[in-house]
Amino acid sequence: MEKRARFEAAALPHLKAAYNMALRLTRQTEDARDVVQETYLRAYRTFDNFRPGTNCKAWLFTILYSIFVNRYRKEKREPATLSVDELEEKFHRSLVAPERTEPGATGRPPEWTDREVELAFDELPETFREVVLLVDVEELTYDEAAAALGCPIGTIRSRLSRARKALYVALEQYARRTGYLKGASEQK
Amino acid sequence: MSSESDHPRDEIQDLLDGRLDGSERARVEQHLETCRECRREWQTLARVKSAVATALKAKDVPSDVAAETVAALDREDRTEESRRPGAVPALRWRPAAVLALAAALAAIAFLVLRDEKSPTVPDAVARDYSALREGKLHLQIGADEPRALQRFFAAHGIAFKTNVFDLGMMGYRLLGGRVHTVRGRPSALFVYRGEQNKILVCQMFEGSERDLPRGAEVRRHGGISFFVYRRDARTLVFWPEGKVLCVLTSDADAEEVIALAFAKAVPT
Repeated sequence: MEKRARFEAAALPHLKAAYNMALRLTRQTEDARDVVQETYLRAYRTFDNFRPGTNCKAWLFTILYSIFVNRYRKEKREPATLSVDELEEKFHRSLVAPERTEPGATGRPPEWTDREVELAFDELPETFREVVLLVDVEELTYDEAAAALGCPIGTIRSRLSRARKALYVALEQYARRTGYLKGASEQK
Repeated sequence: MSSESDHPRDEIQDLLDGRLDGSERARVEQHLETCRECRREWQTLARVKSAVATALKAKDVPSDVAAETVAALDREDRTEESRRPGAVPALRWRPAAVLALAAALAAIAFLVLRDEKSPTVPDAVARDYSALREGKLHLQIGADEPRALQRFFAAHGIAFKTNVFDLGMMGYRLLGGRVHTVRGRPSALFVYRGEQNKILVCQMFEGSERDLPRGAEVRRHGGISFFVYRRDARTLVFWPEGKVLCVLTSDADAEEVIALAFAKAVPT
């Protein structure tokens, strides 16, 4: 089969995921379009480097991320403002708080809306957003995510852990604000 | 297990992300059964993971993003081709295609002069085929899955049920499609690519054999009448499916195009 047909068969099914990734990284639809188009062009030009049988989506994301970092990243890469200890402490306090303050509750935690999750996600530092997108949304393995982001696997693991905890802390704060867990806010 | 043996936090994360093998997994699961704190952490993180996967998953791509991407690849092919004379790529100029196109344009000019109202249905369909080949007509969605394309057509104003078929067994791969018009009627247009860059275009639009001009070679197969027209190097095979007229157009061998139509026509 010729290169173009092989490329389209391998890469086009991931167009939706690539656009989603580009949009969530750039937060601009125009930039996301450009990133996707450049990604596919570069991938096509270097398709001989792709090893059949490996994860084409992970390979595309590696290219996409490099294009994003080099050409489209506008915001300064912000450091996480919360220290690891602070985050752990907040996370574990949130974990136990509702049960202590709502003994009469049914035990089933309220569902978060997609909008709340998106808001909490947007507040995360970029280093956390990337890894959540690759592992939790796109289901890449730690190895694939590490290759895409060019960092060690241990970094993927620790960022993912902190990202999820930070998300939970933020989501619980929304829940308190909207009154799901009235008792919890009085607990502090 | 981690040095923090009371609460194996790293392993809880590994369990969540499917990174533990059988024995490690069993050990962590056993721990979760007895340790309320870890169980709670695990459940909470699983909830976050699942909420994130649902809320942030890919929504539909704007249809023109797919079209732009395919067009960018076409441009790349053309650029590459101009650097490498001699190759015979798809959707690009080659001497035979130039001659065929010149002949087609002459034929169209003749028809337009003869009948200024509009070209016949086969001429319109043959023209669409040329426009696709030349990159003047773009796909609005890239898709290799028939049902995805059927959903696209249904969501974009095609009122009848489309029958996008899988021709993988015959060596043709679905590339994508667009909502088009044939003499003013909405048409579901979809494109396949076969070996040696053969391009196969199918269109479905409301109509019947009464819309077709004289001069067709009529073939019968499986109780269906097929109307075959040749336009330069292209073969067009029309057949009715209920109130819909289907047509396959290709520059592949005429008998191959006819056989593909025979294979895919649905008796009504």
